Amino acid sequence: MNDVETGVLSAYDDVYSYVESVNSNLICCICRTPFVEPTSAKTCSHTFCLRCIYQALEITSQCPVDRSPLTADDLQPAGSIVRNLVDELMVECPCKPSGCTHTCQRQHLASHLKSDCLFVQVSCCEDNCEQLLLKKDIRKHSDGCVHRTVTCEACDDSVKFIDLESHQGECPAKEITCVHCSSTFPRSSLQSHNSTCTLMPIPCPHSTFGCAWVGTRGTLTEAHLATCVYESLKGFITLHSAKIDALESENLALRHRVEELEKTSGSMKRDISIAKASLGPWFRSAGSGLPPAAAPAVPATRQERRRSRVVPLNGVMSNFADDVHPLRNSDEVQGHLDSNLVNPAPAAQFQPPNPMYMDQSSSLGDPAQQPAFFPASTHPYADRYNTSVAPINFNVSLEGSLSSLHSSMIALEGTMNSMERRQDIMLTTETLRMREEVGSLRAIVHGLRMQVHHVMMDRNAQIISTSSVSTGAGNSSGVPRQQQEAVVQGVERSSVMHYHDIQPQRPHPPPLPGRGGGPSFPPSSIFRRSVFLENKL
Amino acid sequence: MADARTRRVKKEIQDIQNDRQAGLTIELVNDSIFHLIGSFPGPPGTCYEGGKFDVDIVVPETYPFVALKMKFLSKVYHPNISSASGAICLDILKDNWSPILTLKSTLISLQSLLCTPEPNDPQDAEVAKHYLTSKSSFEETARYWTETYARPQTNEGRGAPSGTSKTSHLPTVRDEVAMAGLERAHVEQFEALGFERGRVIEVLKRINYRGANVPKISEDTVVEELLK
Repeated sequence: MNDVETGVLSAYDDVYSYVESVNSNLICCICRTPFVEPTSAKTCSHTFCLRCIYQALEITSQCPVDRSPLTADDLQPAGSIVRNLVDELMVECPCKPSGCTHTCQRQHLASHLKSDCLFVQVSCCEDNCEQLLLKKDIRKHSDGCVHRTVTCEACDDSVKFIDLESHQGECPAKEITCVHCSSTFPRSSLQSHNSTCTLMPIPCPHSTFGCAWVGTRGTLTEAHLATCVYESLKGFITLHSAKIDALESENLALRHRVEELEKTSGSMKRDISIAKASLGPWFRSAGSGLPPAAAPAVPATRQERRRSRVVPLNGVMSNFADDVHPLRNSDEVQGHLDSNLVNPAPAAQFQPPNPMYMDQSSSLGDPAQQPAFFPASTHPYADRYNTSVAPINFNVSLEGSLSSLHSSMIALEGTMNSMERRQDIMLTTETLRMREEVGSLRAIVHGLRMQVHHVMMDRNAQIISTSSVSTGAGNSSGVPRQQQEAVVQGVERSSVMHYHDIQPQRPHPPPLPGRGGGPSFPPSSIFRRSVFLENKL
Repeated sequence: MADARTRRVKKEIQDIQNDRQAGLTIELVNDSIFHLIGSFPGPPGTCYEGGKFDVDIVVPETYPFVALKMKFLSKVYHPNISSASGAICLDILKDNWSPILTLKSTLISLQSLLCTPEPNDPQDAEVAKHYLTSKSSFEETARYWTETYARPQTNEGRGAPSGTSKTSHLPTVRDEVAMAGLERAHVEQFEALGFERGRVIEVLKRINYRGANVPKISEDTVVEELLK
């Protein structure tokens, strides 16, 4: 009731209808009606309705009148004079359209609406009744409201008036009459009566097995059961139905198990196919050892058998030997060639059972002998001999291939080591020879230097002696001045030549040593002497 | 029961209708009090005197806390009013709106905007240029526009306040030269060179060939513009 009334009040809250025109000083300049909850700005003293000024400040923080800055904190309730003036304004009751003629001060309107006004719309107090009524009519309404609670005369239960009729149809206390035996009893005991009523028609207890008899309960034992065929077979039927039940439950259990097994086998199939895919060409089905239907003849079969015996041997030489080395390889290759010569026909006939490498084998001609990854143009045996790398053969198991590859690696390592050693020895020999040659060259150069020095010393001594003779004779001697100058020039020239131009001065220039031609150097006396000197040093 | 906005707008419409002295009128469009057509007389003593200017008004949902949407329906030759669309450049219709402003006070503000153009914050740049170049020429044009477009109707209903219905009653055809605020002699001068009249008016208007600007712009420049 309270909620309804506050709702009514809030609906009328700001829609006062004033009896007489209001002084313009009491009008809010925003909503143009007398102030409701008048609120003033502390800064500029302008007054507005509380709601109006808050809404205006949300948009711009300034006073709507003078545009001075203004925030919600600057607001305060207007002075009591203003509040009293607007509170005492005479207003009409908002229920005037409904018929209320009441006028009062604005401050008293709320209490009028809440308690006095008989023209306020209220809803019926009954739970489901949604009808809106004027307060004055509410008493009249609730007496006849279809949602009012009434008491059932038979069972003393509280029932909504609107539900009373349907309640009569199910009230447990109400007396009802049996349609078969016409006896009366309360509805609540209908169940127990139905199980005992002798006039009620019931089927034969063996109707499930096929008895079609239907009759009143009273006649069942006396009239029917004595003659019923199924009654005599009762024991047999019970036994069999028990058996059938047991079988059915067993069947059910078995079905469950089958489903589980199917699930398991499905997952296993998936695993196998994954494993197959990861094995790739190495995968062989169980029957791959035997040839397909292509070789049904007895000799062919025998040859095939031989072939299959040969395959692991020559498929990859050194497959099963850990201590492989090139020498043994060559023996095996020989064996290979032999087997190739011995069995040319089956080799051509043989087809690998796995279709995955059918085209490879057809391009190579002899899949059992030739590694699938070798190019067809090169001879596989030559390759194999030189590199001693095991060929990849899908007819051999994966482990076999891996171990053969491993042993090939070891063999390669050995070969590499021996080659390295040989290389080392060759290098050492060559270096020694070179060192020797360089030594001899150095000796030759030294000898040459000594020889040149000797020749120069000789020449210089000769020139000095000549000039001293001419000096001693004086200028008036027989040596002409021109010659003298030439001699001086010669001295100067020779000193230059000593460094740069030796060769033309030398009567017998020694042959220049050829580059790296140590042993081919022509022996001369000078050379010999220089060698001698060097040896002495 | 009506909400606060409806009550206030109703009251404001009543205020305008009660106050006959200001000469303002207000009418509803499609019987909605939130879409209105207001009008006010041109301020006396200005080049807009004698006109009656119609303004389209839309009251927004959040009125009075946001500004009314206003634009001129009558064509007005004014620096702060678009001569094409009627859009108004006025601070109180934009950022400086205050909830205490009403339909009446806003219409009166528009009236006073006609008295005091603000060419430095123009809505129509060409008109503002004209105003700054030669005020007398501008006033002449504005007066001509007022006579042409804002002539008050006496006997006729005001269903269509646009310029066309009014001009149809004018005795003479609209003078495009005066409409553009140009000198007839200038237009004829370039027309004599073999250019189309409309083109000449358009170009001269664009380059503001008026008053003190005329000596500054050589004839060759004008011809070049015309040939573009």
